[in-house]
Amino acid sequence: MSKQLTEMLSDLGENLDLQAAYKKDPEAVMDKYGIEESERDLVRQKNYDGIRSKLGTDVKMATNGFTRIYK
Amino acid sequence: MSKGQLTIVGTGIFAPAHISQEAIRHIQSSDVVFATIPDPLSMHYVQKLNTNVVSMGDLYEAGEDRVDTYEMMVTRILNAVREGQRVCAIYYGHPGIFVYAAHKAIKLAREEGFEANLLPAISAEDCLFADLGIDPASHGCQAYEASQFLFYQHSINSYSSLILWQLGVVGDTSLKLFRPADNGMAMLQDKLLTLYPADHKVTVYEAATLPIIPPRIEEVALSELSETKVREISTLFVPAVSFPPIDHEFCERWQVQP
Ligand SMILES: C[S@@+](CC[C@H](N)C(=O)[O-])C[C@H]1O[C@@H](n2cnc3c(N)ncnc32)[C@H](O)[C@@H]1O
Repeated sequence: MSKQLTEMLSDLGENLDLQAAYKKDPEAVMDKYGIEESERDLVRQKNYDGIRSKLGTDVKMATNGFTRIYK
Repeated sequence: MSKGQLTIVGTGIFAPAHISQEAIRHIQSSDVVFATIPDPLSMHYVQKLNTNVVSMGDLYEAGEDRVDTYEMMVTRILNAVREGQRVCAIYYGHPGIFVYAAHKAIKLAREEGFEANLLPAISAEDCLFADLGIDPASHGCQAYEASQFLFYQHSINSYSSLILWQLGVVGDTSLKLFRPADNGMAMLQDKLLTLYPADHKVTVYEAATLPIIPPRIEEVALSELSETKVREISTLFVPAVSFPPIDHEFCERWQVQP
């Protein structure tokens, strides 16, 4: 799990001023959070799966219901 | 010993923005918080609210299959309540929508005489209505778990919208996979083709879970659905084919004026 990326994306989710700053100059915001180069590339490319894997998304926990054919 | 109690809350889909004020207060004031949250940003936020957050992630490895995992969640939650703790369990989205363990834990806790409540939250379907610009009032709306739609004879109303959940495990009867069955998407396309024309446009939808990435709204013809990539968070939206015919007989009988 990447601490810097988690911090930046968490703050972006909550802070409208930061969102506006990011829209204007994403590189400056990534500098501020010390995002490393490989992660910057994922962010620049909007690589959803790549970013989620850097963050440590646990996809298993996304499925919480089920259907059985025979009860 | 103080009497245990249980509150089950949801984080919504995009946390912390979606999390409710009452959910926050329950997370803060609980002795222990059991979290089933795939998204690390939500988890990060929840850990700021309470220092005793236990992830349920380990149970997915421990369980024989998914149902076994869900039963273990119920046991873990109930044991803490029985010990006299104020317990908060968190699921993502709405904790009562497609969350077997949440409903079962509430039911058992109540049967054993504990106070137990499940609070509403923002679900993937709520996000879908917002992002796709769909008002369920316009055609009505029906929703099914994707595998249930495949394997049971639900009578589908094609004059109304159809939402299919859990595309990410469609067709899996082993309840062990965390991907569609090998022919899951093909079965889905096949079944939908019995109800809708091949050129009917359907939408694979994924609400935003990260601030910098917009929602996925991928419209494909039904005939191409089986080739479309799905994730564990994909939901399918199938629009109505048309408006239904008017029930003239009924309207005349009741002298309803147009
Ligand atoms: C076990 S259910 C959990 C639903 C959750 N409790 C809720 O209220 O939205 C998992 C299913 O929810 C839907 N889902 C979850 N996250 C989603 C997202 N970001 N966008 C669209 N659908 C999503 C998908 O159909 C997925 O297979």
